[in-house]
Amino acid sequence: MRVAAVGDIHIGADTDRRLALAFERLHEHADVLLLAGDLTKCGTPEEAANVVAELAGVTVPVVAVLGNHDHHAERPAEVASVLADAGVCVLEGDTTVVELESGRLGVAGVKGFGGGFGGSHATAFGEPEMKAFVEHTRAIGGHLAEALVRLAAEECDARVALLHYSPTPDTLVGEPLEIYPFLGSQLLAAAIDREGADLVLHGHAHAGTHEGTTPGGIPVRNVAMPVLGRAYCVFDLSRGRRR
Amino acid sequence: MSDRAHDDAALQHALFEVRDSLAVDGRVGELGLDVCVEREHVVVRGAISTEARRAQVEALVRDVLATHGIDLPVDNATHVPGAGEPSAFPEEL
Repeated sequence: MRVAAVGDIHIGADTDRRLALAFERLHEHADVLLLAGDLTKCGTPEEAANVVAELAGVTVPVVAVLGNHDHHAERPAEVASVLADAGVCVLEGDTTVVELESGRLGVAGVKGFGGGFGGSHATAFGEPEMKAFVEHTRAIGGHLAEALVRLAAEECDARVALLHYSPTPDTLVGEPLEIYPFLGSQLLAAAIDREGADLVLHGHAHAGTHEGTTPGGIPVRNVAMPVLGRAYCVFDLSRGRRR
Repeated sequence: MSDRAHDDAALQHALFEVRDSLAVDGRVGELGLDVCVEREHVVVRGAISTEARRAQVEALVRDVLATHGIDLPVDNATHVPGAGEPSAFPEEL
């Protein structure tokens, strides 16, 4: 069960088609492609159409979540619609089960949001804006937990949590500490550790680190393209450890 | 505040505007680039999605610094991430 993944491809109005060339042979290396958000540069439907063009040579199922850049133009539904019309399964608090020859791969996807980690996590206290910030992440964490519960009932051979924001500071090492609260939240890890997954993928932290774990020990991988230094990476989930 | 401290503060405020402009100005449009001063050069680091945008970094930074009356050399230390195929062996989990 070979899973390709990448995030933060940031396709704008002026794509140089480098990814399209790499994606043409993706089916030789993987059975499915997961996209961890920030597919566009500014979140316009026109850029989403360019993303679709970059993916034209991909012949395996594609599952994606949106990232903060995909929300910048405040038209995420249109971005998601352009992608969905091209066959990309876009998740936000949703699940999908990909039927592969090697088994059933369950994916639960949310964009996520910030807040920070451990004792430094933001608190829903004070101004309405501050409370809204934390409650937004808390709600997203709830949606992720619900999605993982639904996946657990699907008898999948492997479950992947697909995010844009990080659930752990492990994969943020390399980023300035001051921006950790804007790169992810422990509330996301809480949902994952509570309901279980075999692998967590995220993007967003371009200067971060590839490998980490949730506090509960679930593998987390930062697949932002600047971190990978290549068009995508591949995971083999054939062992299919159920958590 | 001494003249030196005032100049340092003005430079820090200008660097804030540079970071912001690098993110929102369509010429580069890259959030999260690192901008700092080293040996009296403004140095920009980070990943940029295309060579065409990377080529716009120096001009954009100069434009923003000019609005603050600052004229320092600009070092474009950004890079375009590799887009090659993955390594031969996948990570087994």
